[in-house]
Amino acid sequence: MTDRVAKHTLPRTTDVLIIGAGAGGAAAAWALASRGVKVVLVDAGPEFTADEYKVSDDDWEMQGFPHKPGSQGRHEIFAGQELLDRWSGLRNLYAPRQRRSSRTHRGGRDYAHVRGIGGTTLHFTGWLHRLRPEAFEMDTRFGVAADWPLSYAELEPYYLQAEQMIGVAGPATVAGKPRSGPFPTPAHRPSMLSQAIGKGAEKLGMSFVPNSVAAPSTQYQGRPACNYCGCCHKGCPRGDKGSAELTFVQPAQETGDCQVFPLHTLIELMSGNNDEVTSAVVVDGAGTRHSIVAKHYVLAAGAIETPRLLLAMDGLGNESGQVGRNFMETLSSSVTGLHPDQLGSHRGYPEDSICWDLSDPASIAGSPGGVLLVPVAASTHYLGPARYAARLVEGFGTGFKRQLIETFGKAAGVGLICENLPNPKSFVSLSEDAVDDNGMAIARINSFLPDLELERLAFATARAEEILIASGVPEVLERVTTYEQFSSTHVMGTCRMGTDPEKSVVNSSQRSHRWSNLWISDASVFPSSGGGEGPSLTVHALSLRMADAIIAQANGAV
Amino acid sequence: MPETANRSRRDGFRLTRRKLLLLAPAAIVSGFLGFSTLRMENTLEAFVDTLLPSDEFGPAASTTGAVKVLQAAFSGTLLRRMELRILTVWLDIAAGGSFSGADPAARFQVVDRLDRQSEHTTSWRIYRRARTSVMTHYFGSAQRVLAMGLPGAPQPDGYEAPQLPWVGAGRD
Repeated sequence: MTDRVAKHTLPRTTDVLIIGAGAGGAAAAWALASRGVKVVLVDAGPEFTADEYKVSDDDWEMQGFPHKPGSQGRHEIFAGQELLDRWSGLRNLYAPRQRRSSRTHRGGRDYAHVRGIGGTTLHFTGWLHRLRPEAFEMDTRFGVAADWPLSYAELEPYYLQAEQMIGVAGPATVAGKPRSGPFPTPAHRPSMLSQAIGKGAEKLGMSFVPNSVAAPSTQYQGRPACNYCGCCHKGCPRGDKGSAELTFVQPAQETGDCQVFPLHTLIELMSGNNDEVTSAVVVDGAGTRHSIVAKHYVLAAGAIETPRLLLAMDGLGNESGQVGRNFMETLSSSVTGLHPDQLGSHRGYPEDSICWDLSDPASIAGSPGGVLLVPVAASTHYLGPARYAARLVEGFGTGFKRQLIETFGKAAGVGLICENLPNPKSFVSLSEDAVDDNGMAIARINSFLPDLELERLAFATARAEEILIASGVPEVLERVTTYEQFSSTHVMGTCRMGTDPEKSVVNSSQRSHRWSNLWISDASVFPSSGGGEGPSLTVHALSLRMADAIIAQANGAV
Repeated sequence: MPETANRSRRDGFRLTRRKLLLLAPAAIVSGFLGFSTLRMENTLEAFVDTLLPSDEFGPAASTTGAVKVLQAAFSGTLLRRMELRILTVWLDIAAGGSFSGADPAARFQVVDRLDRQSEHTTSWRIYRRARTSVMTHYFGSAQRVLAMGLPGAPQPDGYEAPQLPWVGAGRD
């Protein structure tokens, strides 16, 4: 998208300044610009072009997402709780020989994200899920987390609009998630891996159904249908996967009312005496500072960077003391083995099916919160023979090569993501001593998993193992959980939305309770995580809804 | 040979932490004497070619640059460099003096002993690290695995769309 990005300098004024061009900022930019609102969209990260995704190269398998300067924010992870024997079923197993680590305390491995035009959707697998209606009422129903200040029914039209913008491929219905219209493209047909795992689940009275995903199954609005390479997480060079730079940023620019500036970092929001933000200071890639005055300011930097920016800017918007609190992460595990049948599990849309049977937050007795399960091979990196050779196939020599050829394509796994409820020990704060290039403190991610979370994770992991074995895999060779190491792709909750200014950061329209032109549009506003669903679609939908609120306020309706 | 005898013989080659310490001076001295670089490279070349020899499935690992990859994988710290040197010294000793000078069957036996050691031994961990770096390099080449009959790079062609319809609960 090189030619689409503005080459001129940042304007001095605009209607709306959006900070962050990921799922939230991109959708908001389109929703506003498509109605004639002048938008400036800045992101601290770079832009990416299709030729940067190395899925055709000779060394494609060992290549990950092509990160480059600025495409990841710096952060610290503190997740050092003691690993207890009672949770031995959550300890990692490593192939070969089902080895266990000698780790005594939880480690901090990764917060997987991309800064840049398109944000983390650039490397997401493309799950586009609605939350269940029950997920909006976790406090009322279960006395945990907090209720959302809006209902599923209020968000439903925006869910549908976002799905149509993206060309989501999905089934006719999704149990427990009412729809006012169909998915724009049909569900992808199931890979052999999905079929095998589905058969295993059926033996246990469970079912895997088509997942709803961002790559269309048929050509959609100029984008090709997915060609099943399985490499979504490395970046989609064909542009079939509906990442936000294609589905929202590009259409926003085509309106002529949205200018996009990569490698432009917000360093300050200036506030006035009338409870308004008056201007922003942004530093460009050359280090030059720019001041920009907007009528509205939208923070959409994600659930780590948004609270970090607010806390670093003297706690702007933190009148409740809730900025950074209520951090929710990816509570997940995966189990993998070798299936006796040749599944060709390196082919197909990753996680093209899904089990919603445990997604109702009442599914697990004594541990409120939903869980979803998916077949995995791509997300555990079994897309090419190198990973097989390094992990799953033992030995060496000519016999080993023969065995590798015979085994390739048989990796089969079940992954899962659980609801993650907020707790007082999980929060985002500022580093005490580390700063970024602009002298601002970097984020410190504090993560703790209480027993309630681990009970849910242990229950779900055991179910995943049962499904895998029932599918015909003789034994679990690998198990990876976020109990042993913090590793998060979905981060949420750190600028909670709510009706009470004492207990939340933004209102039901995602506007700061105090600052009348400061809005937040990312997963930091989530009061609860949902039952493992990918948060992107909900972020899109919330942003579309927020844009309506901005326009209504600008028109004097609020 | 009975399995128990096999096991005790393997244990004789097991590289315990204590034996590692005994090998370390030899590794250091051999490094200081300076004559070892060529010998070490010869040992590593023989090692990677034992892991992945030239055969009907593909070329010998050494012809693909695997030795340099291995050296790079063990270059990060003094400890890592020492581990690689210890591995080569151990291979030479286990082969009766010169691993590269041993015949292929003898080399295979030496590496087989390493491969079968307990995962709790330091020597096995060093071996696995070396093996992993060689394997990911060798099989990480799309052209090479394509020649073996395995799939190459997945783009630009992608894969054929799944054909079977959803059944059971998943059907539309």
